[in-house]
Order: sequence, then C-alpha cells, then structure tokens
Amino acid sequence: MAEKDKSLLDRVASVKLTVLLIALLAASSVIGTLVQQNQPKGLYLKQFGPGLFKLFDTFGLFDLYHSWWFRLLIALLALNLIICSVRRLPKALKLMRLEEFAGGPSKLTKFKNHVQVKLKAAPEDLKPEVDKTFGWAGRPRWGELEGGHLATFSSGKASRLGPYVVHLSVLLIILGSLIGSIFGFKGFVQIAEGEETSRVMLNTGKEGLELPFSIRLDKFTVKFYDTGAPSEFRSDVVVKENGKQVASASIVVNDPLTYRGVSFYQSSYSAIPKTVDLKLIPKDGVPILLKARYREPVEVEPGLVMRVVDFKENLSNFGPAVALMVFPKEGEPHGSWILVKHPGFHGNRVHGYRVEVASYTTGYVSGLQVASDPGVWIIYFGFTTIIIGSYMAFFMSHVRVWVFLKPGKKGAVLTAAGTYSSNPIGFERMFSEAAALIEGLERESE
Amino acid sequence: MTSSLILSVVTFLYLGAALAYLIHVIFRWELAGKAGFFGLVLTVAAQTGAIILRWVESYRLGIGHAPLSNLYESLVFGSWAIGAIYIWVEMKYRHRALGVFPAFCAFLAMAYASFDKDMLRHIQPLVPALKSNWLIAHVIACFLGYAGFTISCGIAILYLLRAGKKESSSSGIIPGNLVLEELVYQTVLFGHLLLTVGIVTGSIWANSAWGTYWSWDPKETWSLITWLIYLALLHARIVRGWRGSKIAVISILGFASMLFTFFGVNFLLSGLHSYAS
Repeated sequence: MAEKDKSLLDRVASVKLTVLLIALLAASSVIGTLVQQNQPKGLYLKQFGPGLFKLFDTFGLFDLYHSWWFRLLIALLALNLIICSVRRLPKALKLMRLEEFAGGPSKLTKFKNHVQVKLKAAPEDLKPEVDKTFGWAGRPRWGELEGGHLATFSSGKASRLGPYVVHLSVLLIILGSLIGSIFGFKGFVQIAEGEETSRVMLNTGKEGLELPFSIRLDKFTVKFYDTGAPSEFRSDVVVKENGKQVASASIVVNDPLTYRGVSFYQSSYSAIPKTVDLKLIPKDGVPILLKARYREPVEVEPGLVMRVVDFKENLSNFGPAVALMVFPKEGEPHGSWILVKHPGFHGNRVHGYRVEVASYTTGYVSGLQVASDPGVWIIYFGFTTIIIGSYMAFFMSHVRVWVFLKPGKKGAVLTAAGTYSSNPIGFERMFSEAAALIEGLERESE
Repeated sequence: MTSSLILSVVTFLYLGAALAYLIHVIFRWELAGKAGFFGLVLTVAAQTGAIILRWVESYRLGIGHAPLSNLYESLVFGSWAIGAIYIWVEMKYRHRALGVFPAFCAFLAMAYASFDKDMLRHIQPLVPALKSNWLIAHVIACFLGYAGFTISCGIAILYLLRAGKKESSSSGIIPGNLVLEELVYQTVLFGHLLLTVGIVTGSIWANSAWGTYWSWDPKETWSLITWLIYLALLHARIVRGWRGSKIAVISILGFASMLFTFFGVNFLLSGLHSYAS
C-alpha cells in the first residue's frame, strides 16, 4: 500500500507531468483561440450545426478557459509545482551551502575545468595573484589544508533558489486570480451628465450590485485630433457617501478612479438629449408646448404621461430622432420615433398627436467599467517575483572555484578547478582566461 | 519625412549584410564575414538614428509619442531589436557564421514595413488606450524577446542542417554542435525572460486601461502559448536533460508560434490588439 502511494506521489511530482501539463495547457489555449469564446448560442448553432454544437457545449469549448477541465489542468499544475518544489528545495539548499570541497585537493584535477602548473614563486607570494585572477568567481576564503593553502571562491548562490522563486510566483498568480474571482466583481455603469448612481450592472448576470457609495457624472468630454481620431475621453466625476462628497476625479482611459477598492475605468460614451422642446399638435385644438427631460415623465394632459426614452444621432440616415413613449391610464404604453429634421414625416405621431421637435440640447452618457479585484496586488507581487526569479535562475550561476597552492620542489604547485550551475560558455571562457593568466606566470625551472 | 527615407535604405542594408554573411558561410571567406558584421553595425546605427528622428518628427507634428504605436513602427523596432541583439551575441560569443538568419529576418520585417501597400507609414496620433508608459515597456520587452527567439531559431536551423553531418566537416567558421546547441538555449533564455516581462507589463497596462489584467483575448492567449512552448523547452532541457535536435525543433516551433502571435492573430483572429494591424 505504502509502495503504491509513493509511486502516485512520484508521478504527481514528476517533471514529465509538468511538461505534459504545459503542453496540454498550450494545446487547449490554441483551441480556445480557434473557437470564438462566449458568443450567443444561436451563432454557434449556425456555425457548427446541432451535432457538433452539443459535443462542443458538453466539453465547455465555448467558455473553455472557465471550463471545469481547464481549471483542473491549472489545479494539477499548481499541485505538481508545490510537490516538485517541496521535494527538491532541500537539495537546492544543500547545494547552496556546499562550498568546501569534500574530496581533498588531489581530486581537483578530476574536474572538467582545471589547470595545474608548477610556478617559481612561493605559495604565500602567489596568494594576491590568485585573488586577482579568480576574483570574477567571488570573494576568496583561504584555509590551510594538507600542508598547503586552499582558496574557495563562490558566488551566485542565490541562483539555486531561482526556480523556487519562479514556481512560488506562478502559485501566487494562480492564488491571486482565484481570490479575484471569488471576492471581486466586474461590472458596468452608465451615467448621464448630472446624474448619480450607486448601482452596478454585473458582467456575470442580470442582477445588479448596490455600492455603499454613489458616483455622479458632472461632465463628459471627448476630444478629437484633426484627423478625426479620438484623443481623449474624460469623465469628471464626484463620489458621494452618506450624502457627503468624499472624492472627485477626472477619469480618462489608462487612469481609473479607485475608491474603497472599487475602480472605475473610462470605457464608452454616447450622446443623449438633455432636454427636448416638443410641440404636440392635436387634430383640432391648440398645440401643446412641452419641455421634456430625458427619461423623466412629463404630463401631456391629465392622466397621460410621456417620456423621451431613447435617442439616435442618425436614425436610418434621416438625421437625429427621439423615441417618445406615452403611458395612458388605461391601455398599453406605446410610442414612436420622431424625426427631428423631418417635421412633416407621417410617422411623427403619438397617441393622436402630431409631434414636432422644436429644439433639443444634448449631453453625454458615460460608460464606465467597474471592477473590484482584491487579488490584483498578489498578482502584481507574483509578476515582480517571477521576473526576479527567472533572472536568478537563468542569468546568475552558482560558480565555485578552488585554488590549491602547495609547496613544490623550489616554488609552488598551483591547482585550480571550478564548477558552475548554469551558463557553461560564460564560465568556461572566464576559467580558461584565468588559466591562461596563471600559465603565463614565471614557471619553476626544471 | 527623412526618417522614412533612411528606413527604406536600412531595408537594403539589412539585405546586404545578410548576403555578406551568406557568402562568408558558403565560401568560407573571412572578409565577407567582417563585411557582414560591420555592415550590420552600420545598419543598426542608421536605424537607431531614424527611429530617434521619427520620435522627434512626431513632436514637431504636435502629437509626440515614442515610435512604438502601430504595425509599421513595431516592425521597424522589431528588426532593430534583431540587429542589435545579434550584434551583441556575435560580440559576446565571437562566432560570425550565425548572422545569416537574423539579418535576413530583419530585412524581411523592414521590407514588409516599407513596401506593403496597405501599411500605414505616416505618424499617427495616439488613441486614448495607447497613452500609457506601460505600453512602451510592453512593446520594447516583447520585441527584444522576439529578437532573442529569432536568433535562437536561426541557430537551431543551422544545428539541424549540421547535425546529420560529421563534426569533422566543421570548417572552423561554423561553431561545433555543442556550442550551437548551447547558443540555441542561451538565446531562448534571454527571449523567455523578456517575453515574461512583456506579458507582465502588457497585463498591467490592460488592467489600468480596462480593469482586467487578463481577458483571454487571442493575442494574449497566443503570447501565453508561445511562452508555454519555450517553458516546456527549458524544463525538458534542464530537468529532463533533453539536448540537441529535440531542443532545436522546439525552438523552431516556438518561433513559429511567435510569428503567429504577431502576424497570424492580427490577420486571422480578432481581439483587443486591433491597434497593431
């Protein structure tokens, strides 16, 4: 039984599984970009037909990155990372401490990178030369050994920890995204100039979310370049809490407003009529003149309320149009589009009145993305450490060099050897350059 | 605009450098290799000047911004990155025979930028979403990374061409298989670190612009796929001990994925990165 458990743990901790999971995540991500994600059902039915649609739908291919099996792959990767790291970390820590050369000076010539020269100078006199020549490998520590002097150079120890820093960062990023999806929310608000709201429409569904504060749009501005391309979208807003103004800001793209962990991002805008001056002409009788505010009820006659419910800057190429709805006491509400520039249009009629728009003033509605993501700081921390960890792992190398000076017949015998944890080309060049310098010193005459 | 004129000339200079390197490798002619290297240094210097000039020109137009904002400018910077990083690799490792592929890729990028008829080459003002310093960091990091992958792919191709033959066929001009293999790996390490920085800075930019650091948009996803392919290469080599042809093949696969991330997604898939097309 214990044997079996061990083999399962071995399998979960294997790097083979890591590479397999990486390949599976890559392959499923490819599928996710080939099948358009989160489109309406009807579109998929048309694209794939009912048979394939059902198959794809069963495997969650239309929202692949949130499907159970994609999440399972990520969870397995996390588990694999944790077990791999925990199992290998002690070995890495041991390697970091490993500086003394256990085998004794005679074993130094067994290294791939080594050099042995008989020199004229005495061992003690060579010490400064050794310090200088191998200084690139770290700070030397000298000791006495077997009647000679042994210098140990070591640097870049931290590189041994690099992989663990990277793996921990990946786990932090996964954790951060998990926290964000559990405790955060993403939504949208649309506010007209002068209006105030505390209700956010959530992206996940139909229900809204009531914020503990409200946001009022004072002014929305859009600026254009001469080319016609937009240069700035700006919402000047005020945040109110318990009836008091607690913050104000200009929200532009790339510069959101954050209040109490909730951020507002400039996202879209549309033009609306602020006020509309209407002329309602009955079949017979005196025309009624009205000033209607956008989406607010206005009484036309006792028992008949009217609202401007929508606006188009250009309706089917007939120019601006306002949508009017009337709400009679009895009977269904009904309405019509009224063309502003075509007062004679036969459709400009509501509830028996012929309607003309005498004038209107426009304003803007600003669309703001609303997001609260308490996990984002964990993610940013993970982002920072993954870069530091990658640098440690791949661009630092745990270099160890030992130089042994032993009295020779007249002068000294110098033996140097070294090893590294990564970047062999770099290490071997440095070592061979140092060896050449040593070999260039004055030799012991035979 | 003077910068455009210089950049057109730079295109042909890259071709010249690529041909010189090719002659160097085929005819084992030392002088052609030197001509390739110094030609490349001259080209990158001229291109650096042109990029700075374009930056200055944008300020003269009153719409000043770093020249990293559309497909044209990113291709110019991409080819610059390939040239500059290859020069660094050649100076560091002292092998002259590896220049053919990077110089030719830099030429192709510049030729596409300079001569495609649908390319918008004039300086455009920045739309609101692109007004961010994270964008500058994002583009620079990504293209430096891409340059690393390009050079790696070139060495990987050379390795595979050479792998069938005996080591003795080495003329002294093309480095030995062990060195080639190591260089494939070292350049991937560089590319992968820079791609990591690129994805991270892009993610932070997305969060400040749209309130979401990752939205599985096709470009994001393909950059992740590329990242994962090279990640698999690193783990296979470091922990599983894969060497040689296998590593070379993954490097070429990663390069193909990188090309798809940059070009394929723009033309075949739709998403947030429509600025770059």
